[in-house]
Amino acid sequence: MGATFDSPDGVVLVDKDRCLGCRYCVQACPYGCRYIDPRTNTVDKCTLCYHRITKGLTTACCEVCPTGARMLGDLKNPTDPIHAFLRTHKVQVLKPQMATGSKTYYNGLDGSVR
Amino acid sequence: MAGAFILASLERVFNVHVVKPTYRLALLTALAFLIVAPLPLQLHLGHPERSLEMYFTPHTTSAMAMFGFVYLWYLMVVLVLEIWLDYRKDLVLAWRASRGVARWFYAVLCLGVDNISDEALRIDDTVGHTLTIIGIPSAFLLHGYVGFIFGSIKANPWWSTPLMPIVFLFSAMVSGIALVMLMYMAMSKLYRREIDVACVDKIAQYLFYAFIIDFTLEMIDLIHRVYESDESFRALDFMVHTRLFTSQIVLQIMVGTVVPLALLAVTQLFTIPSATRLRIYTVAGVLTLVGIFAMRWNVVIGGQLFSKSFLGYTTYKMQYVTRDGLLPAIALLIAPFGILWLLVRLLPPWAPEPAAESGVVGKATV
Repeated sequence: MGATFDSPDGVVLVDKDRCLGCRYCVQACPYGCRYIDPRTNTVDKCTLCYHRITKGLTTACCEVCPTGARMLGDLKNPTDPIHAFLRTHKVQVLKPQMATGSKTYYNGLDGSVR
Repeated sequence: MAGAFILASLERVFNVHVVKPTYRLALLTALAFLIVAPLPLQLHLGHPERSLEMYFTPHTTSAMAMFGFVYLWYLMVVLVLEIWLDYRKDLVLAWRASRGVARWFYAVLCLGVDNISDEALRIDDTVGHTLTIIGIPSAFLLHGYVGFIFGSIKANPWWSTPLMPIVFLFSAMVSGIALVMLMYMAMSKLYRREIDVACVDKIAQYLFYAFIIDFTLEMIDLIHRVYESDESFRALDFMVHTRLFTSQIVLQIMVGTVVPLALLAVTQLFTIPSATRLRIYTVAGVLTLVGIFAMRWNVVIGGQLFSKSFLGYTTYKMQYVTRDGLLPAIALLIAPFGILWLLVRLLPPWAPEPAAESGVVGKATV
């Protein structure tokens, strides 16, 4: 079916009109990020606020974070400050042994977050 | 289904003629269960009406989507075609002998072809034989694939093991052989036909061998997990000792595996009167099915009982009258027997020459 797809910007999205709700991806996600939307009976996940980032805005969670702990960067843009941040900080992804190619980096991850 | 098909192919490909009385019944059993097999998945889908899309928009990187093709290949190319070729002569004779609606019905089943000349039947037999040979790896593929669907989920340590496909394959063989053995005895009683004890003995022997391999594989997996004790071990170990204790330790391993294996071993080691032997086979067969059902339960439900962070557990709350609740589950458990009953009425597995059949059995060698 291919209901899950990569957008041209590199965001993984789910097409609600194609998903048949088999829940296989819910099981396959090591981070527990996918769930069934009870309104549509299809899978849903974080869209990285696709409707915002395509208009040049940041994600809602980055926008409202009181301490600025969350940050959205554009890894495809070589001039984005995220590259300097990744070079100069001890960052890690969750469950690196799963080799998921996650782009969600945690600064100073101490193992309490799984 | 795999077991039923393997049993059928034993007679046809490997010339184990002693199991011939179960050949057609095994094929019909495989078909009845294969028809019902995808229905639980169908009932679980968020959008069952979209399931056909899997065939129109194939997505090769999705293990779930490609399962549709594996299933369809086995159902249509192997099983339905083999049964059709095997029954073609009977169907043509029924077509010729019937009238009215039944005549049309049989004409459709025969696809409008009534050629049952010796030459045509010889071709049927050759094609059927080839199909059985193709069918064996296909049956392995189907059941191995079901295991692969679970085993390839690296995010779930309860499922993620390369042994999963082969464990599923052997457990499917075990349950299929046990089921055909039970169905053969039950049908013989129901239709007041004499049970061919030599045939049941041979099936029980194959059940015993397949079961030993299945149990060995499962124990290898268990020992490996215990000895390796990776990061998931403590969480899974606690789960097996608490939430899964009854279904895994008691039902699957003790009642559903050790007891039937011991019963089958007794029949292999000691000389027991045939009536008692048949009773032992019946008890062992039923317990085997309970054990394999428990094994599937423990894999599917067990795999969803713990958090992927290994820091907590979930609870499975069974519902009753919902789409994927207990009531539809009971209906789906009964459905294959209903379909089999219909199939047996439509395509009698013992007809047409019982005398000739027992003659073959009398001279059988393996």
